[in-house]
Amino acid sequence: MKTKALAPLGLLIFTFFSPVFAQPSPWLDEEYLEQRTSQLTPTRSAAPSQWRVIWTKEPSTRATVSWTTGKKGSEHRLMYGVRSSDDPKLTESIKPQKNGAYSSARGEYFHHARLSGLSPSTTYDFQIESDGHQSPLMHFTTAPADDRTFRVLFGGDSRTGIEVRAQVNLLIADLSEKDNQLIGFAHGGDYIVSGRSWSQWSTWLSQHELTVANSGKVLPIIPTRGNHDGGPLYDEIFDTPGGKDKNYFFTRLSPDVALVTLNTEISAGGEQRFWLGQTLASLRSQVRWLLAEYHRPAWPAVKSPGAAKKFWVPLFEKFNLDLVVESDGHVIKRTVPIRNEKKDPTGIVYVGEGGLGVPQRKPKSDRWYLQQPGMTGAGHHVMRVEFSKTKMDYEVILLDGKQGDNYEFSVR
Amino acid sequence: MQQKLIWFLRILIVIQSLGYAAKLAAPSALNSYLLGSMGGAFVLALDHSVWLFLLFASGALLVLGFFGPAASSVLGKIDFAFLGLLALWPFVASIFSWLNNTGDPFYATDPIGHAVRFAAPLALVFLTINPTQGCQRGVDWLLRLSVAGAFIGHGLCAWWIKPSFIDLIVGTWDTILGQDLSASVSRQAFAEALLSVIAIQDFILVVLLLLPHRKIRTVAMWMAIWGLVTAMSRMTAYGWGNWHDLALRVCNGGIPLFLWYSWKQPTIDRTNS
Ligand SMILES: [Fe+2]
Repeated sequence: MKTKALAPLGLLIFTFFSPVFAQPSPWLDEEYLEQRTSQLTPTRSAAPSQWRVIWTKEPSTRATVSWTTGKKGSEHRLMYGVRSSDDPKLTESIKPQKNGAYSSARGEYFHHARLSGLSPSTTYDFQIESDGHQSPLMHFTTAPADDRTFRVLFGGDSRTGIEVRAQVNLLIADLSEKDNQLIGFAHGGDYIVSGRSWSQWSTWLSQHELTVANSGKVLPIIPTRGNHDGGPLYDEIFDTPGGKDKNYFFTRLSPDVALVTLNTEISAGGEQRFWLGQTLASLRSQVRWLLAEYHRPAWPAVKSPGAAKKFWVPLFEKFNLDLVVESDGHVIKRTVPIRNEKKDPTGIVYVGEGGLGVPQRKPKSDRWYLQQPGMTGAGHHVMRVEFSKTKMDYEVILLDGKQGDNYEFSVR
Repeated sequence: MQQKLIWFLRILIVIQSLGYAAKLAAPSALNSYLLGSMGGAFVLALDHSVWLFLLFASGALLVLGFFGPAASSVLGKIDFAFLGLLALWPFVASIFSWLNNTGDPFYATDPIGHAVRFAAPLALVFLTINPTQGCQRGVDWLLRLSVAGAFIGHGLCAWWIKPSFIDLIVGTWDTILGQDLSASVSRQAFAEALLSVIAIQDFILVVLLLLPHRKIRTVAMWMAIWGLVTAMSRMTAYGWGNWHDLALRVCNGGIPLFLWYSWKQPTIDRTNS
């Protein structure tokens, strides 16, 4: 009798303390990881799998929803609608505009449904259907058309360390779930080891499902090409971002924030440099926060500088970029502000450089541009940037959810 | 074979090895290959050990050159061991550069494109062990084939319009004529057209170099100049701080120059006819 009476109290105590007992980063637990990775959608059937939402130029009104089927199939469509309440109304439906066989795959097909005319800062429910088989119900939020505060994740190098890659993806899902202001994820390249290997890409794509939050929230990906991502599959997977043989573009994340994505795997000094000069000249006067991202660093913490240093850095300095994100080195780094190859308070800070799964290296922390107030470190991580009216907050989030670095930028 | 020619070969190897040592400021291809399985600390220590060895062996090679020890003596054997390892490193680097980027056609050319770098130390070993006419003839062909490898490798990259080659040309133009944003597009177009011409030139030179019973000195000299010009382009495009990129490619021009000198008089190889 007594114990029965105490039961509600016990439940109350348990409910109150359960967050304390719950593992804050369950992906660190091997069993949990194994269970989650074993639940990935199989790719060899007619059903949709490997879903992703892609952002390139106008994320406030456009997005591409892409998926894989194991067969060519005949009926593919994307159903979507503005999320109004908990009861989803998928009022719209479109057929994917582009479908095709993945190069050197075993019969798998890609499908790209390009959405346009979307409303800014609006959450859309969506569901994919291929030959009667449906994906889970998911949702994503378009980028804002006003000056509200929002956050974007950055990170690169997920090519090896496949188990850790899955862990980082679960971390991303967790960050996304907890944060309504987190709207996108910019990948800095080197997704897999060999860009021409379908089986490697397929594993990456399936694991990308792990970035979807439990609520079904999908973070649209802004892709960058890395030195391991050669070959046609990159364009087939990300719907040729920025155009064929280019893969460079800018993303207007809001009226006040622009991210310029560059391609270090083509000529840096030719057409791309000209485009960069034109683009930065026009964007600088329009936005408060102007960022660039590319794979091979101009200010590396491990390797030697890429062509970006000669061809792009003078333009970054001319147009006073607010932050530049690099990958490829497999470390954590934040440079001092750099201008004219010197530390300069008006200079540009370069951060990176790749920790979405790859084994980490020891940074060359004796390089002048990595001294205080810059930093170096090592550890699997993602970077999160918050854009607001008065400041831009940068932080590194480690695999266990702890902060690895942070820095506050003020408006220039 | 003349002693000064042997010395020239030795100095080329020393310069190349110093270039490889300086290049280790960035992770080697072997480092990248082993990073996943061995961890960051191990691969860093590995690169550091190789760097120390390259510096030490480069110095030792000069000293041993002065002493000129007999091939059968202990010092002679040490000399050969150093040369063997100095050949092994460029070979290992080219193989792992390829393996790290399987499927990438540009990296796939590395093992043949870098052949001259590992053939040079081997040639010196053979010439020291056995300075007979027959061995010299063998070494001559070893070097010709390795130079052909370098020109085929680079010719293929030029033919396929390797992006970094475009930037070497555009960057060199920038250095000579000044940075000009509006000219970037035309400079890229010019570079792409030029690369096709360069590729055809490279392939023609290879054919002429490998003609049996012929040793065309003009071809060797042309390859020497072209090999050095292209190796220099790393500096003309990206600045003098990239001296090591020239140093580790010194054999691209140095070995054709070696052939040019060793082919002094005859255009017809009478030893073969
Ligand atoms: Fe990379």
